[in-house]
Amino acid sequence: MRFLKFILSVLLINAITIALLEYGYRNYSTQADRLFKPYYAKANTVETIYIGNSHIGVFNELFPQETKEVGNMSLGGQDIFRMYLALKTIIPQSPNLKKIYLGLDYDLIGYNQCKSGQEYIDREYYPYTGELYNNTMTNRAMSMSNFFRSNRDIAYLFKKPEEKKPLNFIPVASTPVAESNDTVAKEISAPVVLPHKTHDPFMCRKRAEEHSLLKFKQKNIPENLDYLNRIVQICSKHHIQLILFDPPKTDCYRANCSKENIALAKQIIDSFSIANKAPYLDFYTDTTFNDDMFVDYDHLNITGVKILSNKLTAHP
Amino acid sequence: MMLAASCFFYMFFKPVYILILFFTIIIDYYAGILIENASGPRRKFYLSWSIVANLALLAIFKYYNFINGNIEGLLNNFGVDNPIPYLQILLPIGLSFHTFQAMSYTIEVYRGNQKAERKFITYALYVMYYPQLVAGPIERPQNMLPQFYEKHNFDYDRTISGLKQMLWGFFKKMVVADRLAMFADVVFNDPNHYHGMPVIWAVLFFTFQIYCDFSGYSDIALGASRIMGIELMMNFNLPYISTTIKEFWTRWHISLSTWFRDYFYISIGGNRVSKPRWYFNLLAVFLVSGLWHGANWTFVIWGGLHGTYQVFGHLTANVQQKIKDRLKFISFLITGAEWTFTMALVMLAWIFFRANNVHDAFTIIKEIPHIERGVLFGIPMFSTFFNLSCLVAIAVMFGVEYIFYKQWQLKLLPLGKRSMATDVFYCALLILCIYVFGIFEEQSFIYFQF
Repeated sequence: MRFLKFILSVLLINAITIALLEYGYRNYSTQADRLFKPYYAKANTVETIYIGNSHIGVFNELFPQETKEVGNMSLGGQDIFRMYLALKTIIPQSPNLKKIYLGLDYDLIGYNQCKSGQEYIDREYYPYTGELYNNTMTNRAMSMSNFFRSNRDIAYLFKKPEEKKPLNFIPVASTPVAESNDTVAKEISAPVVLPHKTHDPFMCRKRAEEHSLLKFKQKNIPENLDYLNRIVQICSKHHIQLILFDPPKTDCYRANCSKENIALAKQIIDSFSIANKAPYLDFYTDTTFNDDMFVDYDHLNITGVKILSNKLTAHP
Repeated sequence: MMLAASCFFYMFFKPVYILILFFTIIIDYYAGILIENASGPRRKFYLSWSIVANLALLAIFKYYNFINGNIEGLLNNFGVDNPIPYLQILLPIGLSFHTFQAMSYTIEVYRGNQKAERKFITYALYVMYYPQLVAGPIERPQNMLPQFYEKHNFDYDRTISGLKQMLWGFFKKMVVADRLAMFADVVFNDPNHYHGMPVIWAVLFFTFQIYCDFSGYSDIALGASRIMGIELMMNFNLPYISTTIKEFWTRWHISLSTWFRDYFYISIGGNRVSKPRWYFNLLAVFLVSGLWHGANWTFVIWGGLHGTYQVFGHLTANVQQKIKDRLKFISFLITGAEWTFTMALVMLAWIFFRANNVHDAFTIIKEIPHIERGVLFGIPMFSTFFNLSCLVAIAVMFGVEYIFYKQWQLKLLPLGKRSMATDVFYCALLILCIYVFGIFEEQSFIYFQF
């Protein structure tokens, strides 16, 4: 009897705490919420979608959320699997969609978010896409929890009520960080402030190495090509023009990227583009974009975005 | 009932491998009876027969491909192809643990310290007892077998004590070890791309990861077993407070170090031999212990390093004592220096233990001094908050264990006998901590591979 009392007490305390946490996080706005909800609000009118990572997120400067004809499904650090899931989910609900600009940085072909310790992203997308990269029972259970979808952002509990209101749709141009309680969500829930332009060669090298060396794994390439292939098939099925492009980078960034990995990725993407008749516009080495058109080492500023947008739309 | 549960537990991994386990159980069961019934040299014959059978299993499943790989490397140097095929087999889970446990039974029967077990089911349970089947503690028959004959009624205090120890084990594994593993794995799996601070942090984090991972499993095993009324031996006793390598080995993986002491070190002469032979014995024990962990040169070097530390410690014992005597007035500083030096040596050895190969281990060591300006943690995908959370997790875990250790030393801790409210609070808090801070991605226990 005493033991039963003990067990019931422990279970009750934990059940109440977990229920309170779920209740407290019911309005938590995840990155996926900030992508999908605004998109669905204008899905019927969207004709063009920009999708990619933070390098493409900067197109919001040109086409704000209010632009009914343009949707931006970009997210800091978004990998090809996540792009595939997002497109697979929204394309059938976008009757007027004609064109998709998919930002395919070279390094993305060897990158996988879930394998880089960012599985929380998987759980954030789950309510919209219904798919998980790691479809385990634990992961599914966590995906259904408000608290876990927030990436256990403890700091959220201590925010003032007005700070807890869902934020406007603004993709983030910040370096994604690995899953950890409280930290990640803290960074992503802040309104985007593109980093001030800096000329720190050390930081530039770090960023380039992070993208082209540390996150780039050759073993991820076949899997990513498969997801790209699926994207091509979905677009083809819905008669949507898919344009792949690699946004420009600064000289400093390019100089510090892994030549070997970039060459390999370029070769693979070129072959894929030819085989699947998906145009690939490479701005990686485009000399039109000088350092004044960037906010940092790899993100364009509004001037840069305008030029890039013109170049993209010039493509038939 | 317990045996059925153990079979089910083991078969969860690869059902057919239960036959291997039964093979060793049958061999050792009959070997025990034969040894007891025999006299003179026949006893030794039966013991050898049992040991050879056990070691043969280890050799086939664990070391065959390793030895073959080394033969291949050697032959390739002379331009000759290796004609011996590799075996495409998975290592049975916990093979090294239950093989050693089985061997301790026949050796103890041979030495006359344990009567041969006549009930096959009881002996099978001794080898297969599921809480410690896959990663120890490596038990002794004198401790385990009598407990199987005792009647175990439900006991509230014992059950709560077991539950608390299990939860603490889960906390160490899921909150501390798996968190630290995220950082350490990135560096150890890609050592060419990191230098300076990230490498230093990775080594430090792995040092605590392996402790929390392994001792966490031991806590779970001990706790689960205590709930069922079976007390297993303590496997860890705050090893990172050791101030000498010798002390470290009295606190780390106690069931294995005592196994090697009792059945190998003493058998080859221990310290009752000439000094050079004694040093050789020490080295041999640690080299074999390294090889026991895994069929890889990294483990052999890890063992070799610990053996060398021990020999060096004995060689310089007099000098160390003289220094201590002269600097008595700053004994606390001396103790601090000893602790730092011991930890540095232990961490150096862990580099080999964790590295994927010997080349990687040397790369990591080589990269440690290359500290870059302004870099504190140095892995962009991990935020500073995450890295700090790793340090806090270590501090909390170590702090709690140290407080409990001190209370236990001072006999202030009536284990398992506290008010129900305290127990409820303790357990609910641990569950909540795991829920909020635990890492839920699948991460196996490191020692499962051995």
